[in-house]
Amino acid sequence: MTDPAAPLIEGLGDITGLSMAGPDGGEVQVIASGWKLALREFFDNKLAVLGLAVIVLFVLFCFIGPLIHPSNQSLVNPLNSDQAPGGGHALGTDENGFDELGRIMLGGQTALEIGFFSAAIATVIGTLWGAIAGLAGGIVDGIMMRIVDILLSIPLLFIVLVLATKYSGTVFKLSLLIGLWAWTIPSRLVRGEVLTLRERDFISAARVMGATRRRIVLRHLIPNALSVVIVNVTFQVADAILILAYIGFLGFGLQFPATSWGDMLGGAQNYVTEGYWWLVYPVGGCLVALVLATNLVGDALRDAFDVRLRRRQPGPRRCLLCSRSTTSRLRSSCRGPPSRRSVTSASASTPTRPSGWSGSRAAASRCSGSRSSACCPTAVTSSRARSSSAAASSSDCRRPSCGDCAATRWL
Amino acid sequence: MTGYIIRRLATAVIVVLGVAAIIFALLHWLAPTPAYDVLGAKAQPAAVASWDKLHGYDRPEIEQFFSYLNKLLHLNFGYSYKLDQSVSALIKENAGRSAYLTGAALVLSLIIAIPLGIMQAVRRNTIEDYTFTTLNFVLYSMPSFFLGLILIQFLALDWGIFPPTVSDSITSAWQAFTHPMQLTLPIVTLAAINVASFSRYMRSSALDNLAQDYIRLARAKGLSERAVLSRHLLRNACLPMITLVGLSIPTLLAGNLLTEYLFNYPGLGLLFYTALGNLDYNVLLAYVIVGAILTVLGNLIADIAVAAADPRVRLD
Repeated sequence: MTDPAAPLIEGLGDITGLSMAGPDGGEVQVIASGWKLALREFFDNKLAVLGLAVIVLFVLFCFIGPLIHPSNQSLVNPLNSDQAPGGGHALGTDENGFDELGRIMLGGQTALEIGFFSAAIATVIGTLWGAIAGLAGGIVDGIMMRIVDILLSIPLLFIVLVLATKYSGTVFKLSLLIGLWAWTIPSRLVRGEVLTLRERDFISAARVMGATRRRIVLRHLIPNALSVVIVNVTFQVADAILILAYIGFLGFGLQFPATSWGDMLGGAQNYVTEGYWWLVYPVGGCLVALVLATNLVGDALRDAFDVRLRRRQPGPRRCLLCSRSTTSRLRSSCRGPPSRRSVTSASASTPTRPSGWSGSRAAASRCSGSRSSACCPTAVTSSRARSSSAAASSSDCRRPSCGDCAATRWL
Repeated sequence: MTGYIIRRLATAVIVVLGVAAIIFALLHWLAPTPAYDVLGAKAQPAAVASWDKLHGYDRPEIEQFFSYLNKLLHLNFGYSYKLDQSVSALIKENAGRSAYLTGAALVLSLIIAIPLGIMQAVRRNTIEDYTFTTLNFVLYSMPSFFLGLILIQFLALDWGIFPPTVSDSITSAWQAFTHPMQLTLPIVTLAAINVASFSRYMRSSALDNLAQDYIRLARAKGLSERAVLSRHLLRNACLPMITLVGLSIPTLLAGNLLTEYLFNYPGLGLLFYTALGNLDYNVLLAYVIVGAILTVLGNLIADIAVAAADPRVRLD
């Protein structure tokens, strides 16, 4: 830790066979399990913590809020309709005379419930489907993945809306409706993960050591594929909340007097024309804030689980090029490749880690400023990884950009 | 290359056949017979049965499926008994206006997103970069109708620059084109959603390319920064955009539905919305299948276009 050139020297030692001190790339101290490392990485990310805090706040607001701020949400009161904020109604009342603040809490409950429940359905189905396809291989895999291809090419919002004309109205039905059409993305991700994991050395090692098939699946495959699943759950939640908002806005959401944020915005064109701003912007703001927070958490989780991006030990990291130590809080002194810009202007110094999600997402965000292979060893693999596949495997992909799984938005 | 195209085409045909099977099953499940639409909701079972027999709705499902496929091949999407018009005529009537709205929004989003992404990559980790990245992320998390509502509030109602809804006098795509003020808000709303995702990809693609040797070489040759960016970086950084545009078709269709509903602009989206209210399943599922075919085609064309544009892509 003291000698800045230590990793390089160790690396040289490995090549020349002089030293067996450790694997190339530096000393590896096993100090915690992968999960703990990922958790620490996650909580290092300020935006992620903010996102998580916002989600927790929304859960408290929507589920505990009605206990603190009880309001009538079942008896229509036309005499009290469309009141501006004030006089006992912090956010005014809607056209049925319901207290808008209480209504937002109620709508938030359903948004959260449907978001998490449909994400759970989609994840369970998708994980099983993808794992079975990946493990079975051959013709079973081919047929199962063609079914996924077919389902993926049907625009999600449209098919859900068509079915919502008959099967809608309750939290359970809507969750089922969204979940049953949204499992294709996780299934592709899990299949891809299983396919790569199957060929990895540690699986072969386990097999050679005589592990049973069951042990390999339960102890090695599933825990390793789980990170992909967990990351995807957050995006599933965000997308389900958005889809629910679209369905509600078009008028096919929950049965009155139950409501969701989308349902509440159903008459928003009129509210805007009439000047009832309190019926539009608080709800819309909550919707955007919750989806944004969920996306932030998802992005941070993906970075945290990406082993290639992970610090191997706590404390200062060092640049492989200049061997200077950095800390996650400070801007790095690594300037990347000597480009014209960095020579002429000192301000072009690139931080090892951009604050939050602004950097390249899927890969090499440690050194996203320059993305040079000299500065950041992960940059090479990430840019090479996407060669033959014509999929949009840009490193800024919102979901882990598996070369096989091109779809990144699936409304 | 030819082999690859043939194989991709074959896959696409299989996928479309699968989609048709699913849509047929749904149609059969949701609306087994249009007899009640024709004869009235209180029609006698005997009358319904004879109507079914007359129009072939009593045949085995598999036989009906093949006649459905045969109709699809002839671009016959069935008949809308609610609107008393064939679905293909309805689609043909509305497609032009929707295509104009969607196409204009797509072009606008590319015109904004490509330079924006390059600018962000060049000025990475500066205030401008962070500002636009934050803005993009908020836009990305925002339902399109909410953005539309905000635009209506400020640009239409408060400042009165644009009309809040599209005027009824706009009846064709050409009229929409010649009355740009009418369609500005819908186009901007639809474009903004795509700008958010496009510019994120563009930024990272430009970042990838900026670190490459050919950029360093171009600079070493003494080219001006403008020439490096516009002649060398732009073309290479835009390659992923081809795929992205191909993949954005479902998003565009969904955005199209919401924007047309919000601004009351008669197109395929509004047709779909009306059909939702009427429970007009022939129209609904016809549009779903058109959307699925467009999605498959978009992926196919994007894949081939990338292969044609990027010599590094090896197809085998």
